[in-house]
Amino acid sequence: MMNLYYIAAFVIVLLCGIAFAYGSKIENKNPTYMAPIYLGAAISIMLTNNLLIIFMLFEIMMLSGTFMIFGGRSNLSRLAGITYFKFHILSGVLFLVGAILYYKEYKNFEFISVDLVSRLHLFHYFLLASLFINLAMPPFSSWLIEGYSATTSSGSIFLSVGVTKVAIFLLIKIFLGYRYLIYVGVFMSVYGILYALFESNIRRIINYYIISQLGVMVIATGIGLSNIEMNFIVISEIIYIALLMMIVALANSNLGKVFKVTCLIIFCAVASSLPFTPGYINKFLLYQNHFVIETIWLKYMISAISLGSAISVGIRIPALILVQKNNKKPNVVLSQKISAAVLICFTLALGIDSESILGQKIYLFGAEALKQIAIFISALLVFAILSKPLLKARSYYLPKLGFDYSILLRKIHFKRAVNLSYMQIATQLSVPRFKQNSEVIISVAIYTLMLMLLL
Amino acid sequence: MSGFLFLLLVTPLICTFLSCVLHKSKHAMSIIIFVVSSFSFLASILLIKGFLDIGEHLVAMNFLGFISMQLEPISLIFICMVTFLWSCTNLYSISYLKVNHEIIPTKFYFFLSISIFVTICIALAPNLVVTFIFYELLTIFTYPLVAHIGGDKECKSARIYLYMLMGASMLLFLPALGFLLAHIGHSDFVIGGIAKNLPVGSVTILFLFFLYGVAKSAIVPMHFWLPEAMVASFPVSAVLHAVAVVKSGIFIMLKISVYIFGLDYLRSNIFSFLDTNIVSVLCGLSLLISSVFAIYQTRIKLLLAYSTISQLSICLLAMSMFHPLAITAAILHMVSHAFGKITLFFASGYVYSSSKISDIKDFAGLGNKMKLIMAMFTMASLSIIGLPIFAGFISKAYIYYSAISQDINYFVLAVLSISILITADYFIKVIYIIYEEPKVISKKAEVNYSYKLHSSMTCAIILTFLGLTSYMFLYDHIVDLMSLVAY
Repeated sequence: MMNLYYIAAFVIVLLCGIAFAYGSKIENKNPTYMAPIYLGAAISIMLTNNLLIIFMLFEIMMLSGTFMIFGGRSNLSRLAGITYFKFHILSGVLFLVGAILYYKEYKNFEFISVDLVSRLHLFHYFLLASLFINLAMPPFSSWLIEGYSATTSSGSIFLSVGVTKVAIFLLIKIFLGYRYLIYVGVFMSVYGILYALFESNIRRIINYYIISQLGVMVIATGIGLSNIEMNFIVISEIIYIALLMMIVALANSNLGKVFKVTCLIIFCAVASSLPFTPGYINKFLLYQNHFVIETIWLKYMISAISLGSAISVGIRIPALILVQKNNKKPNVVLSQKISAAVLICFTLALGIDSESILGQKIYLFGAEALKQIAIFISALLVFAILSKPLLKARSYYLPKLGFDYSILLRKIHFKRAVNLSYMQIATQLSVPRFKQNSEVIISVAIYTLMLMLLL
Repeated sequence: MSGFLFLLLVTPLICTFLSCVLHKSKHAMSIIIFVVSSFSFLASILLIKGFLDIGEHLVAMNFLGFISMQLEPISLIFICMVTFLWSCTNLYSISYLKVNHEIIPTKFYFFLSISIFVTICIALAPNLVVTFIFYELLTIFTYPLVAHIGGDKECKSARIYLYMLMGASMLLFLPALGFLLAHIGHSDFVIGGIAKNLPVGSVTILFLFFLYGVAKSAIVPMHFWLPEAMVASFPVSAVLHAVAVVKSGIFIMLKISVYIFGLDYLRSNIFSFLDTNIVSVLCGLSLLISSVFAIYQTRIKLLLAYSTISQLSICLLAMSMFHPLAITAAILHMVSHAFGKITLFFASGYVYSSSKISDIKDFAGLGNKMKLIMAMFTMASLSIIGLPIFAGFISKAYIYYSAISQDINYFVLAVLSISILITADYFIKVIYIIYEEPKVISKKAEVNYSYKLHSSMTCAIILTFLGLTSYMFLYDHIVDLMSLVAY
């Protein structure tokens, strides 16, 4: 039953995205041709239980996603496409090895959920590593940040709902209730919020926000919410992340005053999870859980993540959009307006009438609502005090986390064959990044620390 | 049955004869040779059918009453692959020779056909001595094709080609063969192997002598001849240096491990540590080194050559696990790689003959100009990487499966995964450049751009490409045929 909701969500985003791209007169429309393949493969993954078929569908998503990013038609987008391709090849190989190891254990590719409490099998580790790359866990997150901001705006709408959400779906299927995921999720969401805070490009901020939201979903998987609650979180995430992407894309065109204010208010409310939005329901489900109530640090952590995303995205992006100088923007097209309005309707519907899907009581006016509003007000206060540095923040304050596995090979290559044009672009992009050896060291240090903590 | 064998062996000889007779009308010659050569594929298919009817593992046959031949599943698959791709190449050459005038058709067809004849003889040889003789003949007959154009560079490369292959076989293959004959007395291919009572510790050394002595399989220290051989024309590189010659090296190694030593004997006697035998380690090293070399290449032919070396090492790596499933996986990978690589060579030959481009950086923007050819080039390279629905995926997945089927062989799993990543790295570079908009077209390329449709070349590329995509229906038959092999 839950799969049908997933399919409905994908179809809604697909239709709205196509309507959105239809109106755009400037951008290349190649991503729109690839989108049905991409989201079709995502839908097919919802319908199958066979690990080998899931692998093949992942590869189809990888290829169509690469061509979607190539559709950005700039050298930057092509390089981002290559990065995307390479990372997903890596995750695909890991997934295939995991699937074959599963076959050895059970003589069948049909997945049956295995009891995680007893012990993890070998295939679990491979599947987990593959899913972590698909979830853009920070050292492997450069494909998401660069890929989603290099493609066209409609392409980024399709991409944002695809592979990461499918990966979360599989994570829920395989690893629901695996407690160590909580630490990973906390790391991901804190990383996303921090980097979103120090980023100036709006499209890249929203990409970091996606990573932090994925972190929240990984936390929820680790806590072990019930299956239906987990899936509700992912479905609402599919709808409202697409909405946020669309609003960010609309910021490039001249909206009417009323529409602009409506969009920005909705954006602010959704991203800082105020009541009557699906973000609030997600936070409510987390606060209500027994494990969270018992574990105090986690409770405060979730509040802190909520506060952080309210400051870094929920308030900062509307402020950045308002600060932008309005000169020579193209007028908004009706189809773009309609598709945004449809997505707003669905988002609000999910926020208000979630009980019909969840089948449990949601308190829209309870203590949790007050808490979220208090968090939002404090975020507003913090932003009001620190508005000047926050609006002028630049990304070079923090070291960039994230590496390309082929970086060593490329370094050797530069000395031999510099004449290839591909390599010339690669030089511009990855040499300054390579100079920061700190990034690799930091990520390794964080992981060793986490491992030591776990052991 | 013997009629089919006669047809199979006679068609290449007829082609050599025709190439001498018809030297006055070159175009007619290439068409007639294509038609005749396609009969050899028909004959090999009928031979498989006859073999299945007999239902034995090793079938001894006589050719003309006194030359003994031997049929078994591995050689049948090999013959079928070679004859099919040879007739594809003859189709391709019809318009390739029309466009590229530096190639002399008579010489080209004569040595190509006789090389194919020798390759088929290698496949049908009843013992290792005959195999060795035809192996040397194959080196000699392909030498004129490498030195075809006859410039200084070509002659030098051809000399290196001859010295490397001959030297390796004389210094390593022949002594190992002599050792085998001295201890056992014969070298027939027998089910379960003949080498049973060799001196303790000599098995590893003997096998390594064979591994490096059969330099046609291009394991890394012995690989230098393959990039040198790329001075030959595109059809020659396609059918000989991606299919017939290198695959005959792999084929001989498979025959030696299955029918001379026997898999069980090798598994228990080859030196190994931590459950990984020394052959796996050497093949894995060869695989990684050649994949890294491929990243450096700026010429399309050299890139394809190094890619060939690494893919051949994957076949040897699969073989080095020494159990029946792994041998099947090696055969599957041999065939799938042949289809993929020949498509790549044909497509880049098409580009060369229409615009004389051979540098990868000049490929920029071809994606919009030759849409069909470049789409096939892209898909063939995706197949070499090993993405689903293409041939490469099936064979690589089968190697993965055979690596875990008994004890999990972590070494093979890790090395194969890393090699897939590196392969993706250097092929996505080429794909990226193909679909890039050219900023500055180099002067040479600008002058020679002419995108005529060379129909027979396109047909040949489509034919091999169909083999690439229909592999998912084909591989079942190969696995069925391989299940007849008794170990």
